[in-house]
Amino acid sequence: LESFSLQREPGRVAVAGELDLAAAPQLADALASFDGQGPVTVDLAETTFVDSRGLATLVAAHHRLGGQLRVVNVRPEVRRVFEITKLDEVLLRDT
Amino acid sequence: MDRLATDRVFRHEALLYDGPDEFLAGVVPFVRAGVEHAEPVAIVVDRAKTRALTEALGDDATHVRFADLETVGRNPGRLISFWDDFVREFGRAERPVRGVGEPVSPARGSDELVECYRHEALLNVAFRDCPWALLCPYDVDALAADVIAEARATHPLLLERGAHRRSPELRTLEELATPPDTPLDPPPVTAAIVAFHDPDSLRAARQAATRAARAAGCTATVTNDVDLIVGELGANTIRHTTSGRGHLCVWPDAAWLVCEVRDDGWISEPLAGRVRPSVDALQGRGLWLAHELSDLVQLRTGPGRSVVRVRFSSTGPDAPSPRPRRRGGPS
Repeated sequence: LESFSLQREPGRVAVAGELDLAAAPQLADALASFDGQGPVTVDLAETTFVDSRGLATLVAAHHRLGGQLRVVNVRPEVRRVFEITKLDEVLLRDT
Repeated sequence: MDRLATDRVFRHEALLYDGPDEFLAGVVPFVRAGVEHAEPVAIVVDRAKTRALTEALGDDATHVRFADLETVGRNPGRLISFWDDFVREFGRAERPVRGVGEPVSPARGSDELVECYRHEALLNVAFRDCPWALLCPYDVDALAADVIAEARATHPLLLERGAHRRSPELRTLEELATPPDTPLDPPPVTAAIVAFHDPDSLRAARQAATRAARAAGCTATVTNDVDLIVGELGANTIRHTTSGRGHLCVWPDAAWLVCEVRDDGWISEPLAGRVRPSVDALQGRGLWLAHELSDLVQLRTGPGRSVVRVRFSSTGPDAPSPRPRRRGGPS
């Protein structure tokens, strides 16, 4: 049973399941394919878990895209880790 | 003592006080001097002392940032990160900052005190090149002699009955950077043990931990934190140890849930997990999150072995569960 899946569309990745150490490299690959083609939206509506490897993947892609990455639809239980690390201020800008 | 103040070094002083009057007589002038020089001042003490200081400082209290010890310092392993945030946000080369912190109190259990000693020792390491002043009150009347001896060994300066002096018992910086490896009690035989070596087995370990958290009466938020921290510690094992293998041990203990991850790695950096990683850091968040989200972290490590024991608050196994139980209902 897969604990994680990705859906890619132009300018957007939807992540479902657990963004942990196993999933982070897959998300990194998906985000790398957007390089130079921001902005990119990462949709976490179906994401139930994000660990520090998941966060680091988002931070690295945010850098490579020159800040043109934003994370949307974060569930309350996942939002906490963004807030504690202060990454909400960088990655969760509402629009 | 004035020489130190102008030396642009970290001024870490223990106030050894006997009774509330000596507490105020030591803390109030230190805070007032900061306010007079427009230096940012933060105070982390319990609620009763916050009230006493607010009253004694009068108008000067409005220039002081008070933080509740229970919130920011219940886990003493979180305090270096707190002070580091404060120094970074408000400190300037031409304007030092001041702090007052009393993490050590008779209310602490013995294993919390060991971690408080570690915190006090590591403050000297964390801020060795950072000019600011921290005053740490110790209640000599209420605290045991060995606690006061630790204060003398971890603070370069002592303030006692109005007199400042260098501590003759201060340990060397090298000794302060390698706190004693105080042994931990073994986990109880009833503890759940889960071995892990890859993301799938780590996921099973996380599930065992969250089941235990719910059974122990942890809130939904704490259960979430347990899930995250076990995942973080386990990911460190898988990623950063030679074997990539570890064990999770989890058990309830009075009003806590205890999670322990054991592996053959060596966490050799004494400040690991105690300083907030920058927002653009690509690593180092896992152990820091463990300190930030738990009530106590007990890290024991050496060549080829590391134990990270993390304590979370729960209502205890005998308290009513926050989730409805299907016990005794119609079947």
